[in-house]
Amino acid sequence: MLEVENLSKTFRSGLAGRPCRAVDGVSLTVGPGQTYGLMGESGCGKSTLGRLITRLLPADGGKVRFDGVDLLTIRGRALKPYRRRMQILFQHPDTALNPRMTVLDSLREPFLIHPLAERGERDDIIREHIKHYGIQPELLERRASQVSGGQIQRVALARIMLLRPEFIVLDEPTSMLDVSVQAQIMELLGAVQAETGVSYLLISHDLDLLRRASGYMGIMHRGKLIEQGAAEALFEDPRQPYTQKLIRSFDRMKEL
Amino acid sequence: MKKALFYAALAVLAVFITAGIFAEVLAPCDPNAVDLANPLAAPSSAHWLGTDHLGRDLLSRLIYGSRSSVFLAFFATGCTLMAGSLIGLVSGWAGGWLDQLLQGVVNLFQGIPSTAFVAAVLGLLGPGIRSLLIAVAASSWAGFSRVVRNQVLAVRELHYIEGARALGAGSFSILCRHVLPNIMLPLLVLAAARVGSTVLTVAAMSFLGLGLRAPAADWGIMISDAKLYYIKDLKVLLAPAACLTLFCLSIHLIADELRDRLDGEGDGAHML
Repeated sequence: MLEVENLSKTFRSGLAGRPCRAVDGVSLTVGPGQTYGLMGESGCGKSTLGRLITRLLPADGGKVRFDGVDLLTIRGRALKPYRRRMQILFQHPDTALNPRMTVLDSLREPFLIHPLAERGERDDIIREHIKHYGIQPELLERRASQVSGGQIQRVALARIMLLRPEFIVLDEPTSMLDVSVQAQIMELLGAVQAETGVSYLLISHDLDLLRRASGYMGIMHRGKLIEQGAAEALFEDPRQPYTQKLIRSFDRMKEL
Repeated sequence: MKKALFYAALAVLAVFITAGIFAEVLAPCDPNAVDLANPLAAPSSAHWLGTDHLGRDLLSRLIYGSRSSVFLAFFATGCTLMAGSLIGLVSGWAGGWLDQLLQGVVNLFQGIPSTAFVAAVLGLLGPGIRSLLIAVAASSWAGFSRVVRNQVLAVRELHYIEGARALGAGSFSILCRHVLPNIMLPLLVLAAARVGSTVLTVAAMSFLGLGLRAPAADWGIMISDAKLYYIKDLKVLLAPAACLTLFCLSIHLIADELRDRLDGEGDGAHML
């Protein structure tokens, strides 16, 4: 489904700035209907990786194969069909939607970009669609700035799912939400996956969440993917010292 | 107190704009009707504010003057706003070498003293409304474009912009649907403040004979005309000067209040 091969990105700050290898030769594979959990500390390059895969940032080298096609070689308009098929859900609900637009207008946007439905049917489709995402119809008329974080993430997910994508990068989708809301959003993500068979790349720094949600996992450290494997195996028998340390500190946290 | 000032300023601005639009109806006399038998007359029932050195009705000239001064100022600011925004949008959105090139040009233009620049451009193009518009826009687009560019840089990394790109939206539609609406308000505040200085520039150029030409009724020309006669009759100078001052003052009060309101919304207007 999605194969990332040797993907790299180096940031340079100014002419004299020291180059920073944000993503350094990362390779991973996400199968259909699978959730790949990507664990790493803040600043380890996991969000950059998500943006490289979704072509929001240009990569320096490597391949992102989606259904066998290398996305990094596609330019301009030819990319648009692939944009529909792979999406990204962001971390900060407060900027996830345009604050000056109503929720309804935000939900209409996919229809303006892709030929998903006839003009007359759009609003009916949206009204029917949001029921599955626990969004109250009254919310449609509100501006994004007047909607709570959990609701915004629901709207953002509903909007993405209007496109019927096959793969979604979830970039810490719950880290800015209250614990009670976090669980609801994770449940919703699980239900959506069960219904549509969409694949997730779930980026998080919460080891417990990843362990519960993902079948396959990778650990990122300083731009490199240092260890990956089936989630349970990785927890039972971590090979890398960094992974061992990570798991130990999470266990300690739970005992506290 | 501040509220009251704001509404007073709005009222003053409304008076000027109404006077400009309905000059034909409101002006008691033809602003260019010369009455050489009646120069520098004191206020009377026929001429509420008296007459100037050629016996022309002062009030009528003020009213017609608000048409040329105020509307020219708004129009010129509008042109500047559009030119500056366009360049700022391109600069901020494109980034890279284009951004650096455009910002270099902006620096260059911002370094030039604007009054001297306007005078030079008018000298080159010759006097007239069109030249005046071009000169004003050419002298002040740079400031706008810098503000727009900085605002674009501030919003372009936000999730909803990235999200729109991920949806597959093109640059043009993202700029129109997401970027512009979110940077518009601080921009309008800046433009409002700008109208005040533009009206002064326009008046100054007309005063120098580089803008509108006599006998057009214009505040700058009226002040220019008055420079030979104000010793005999101060009102020919005071009347247009008072209009100019009142107009600029009300524009600044309005812009100030708008900025305060925006700041309350945390809209980044403090960047101005």
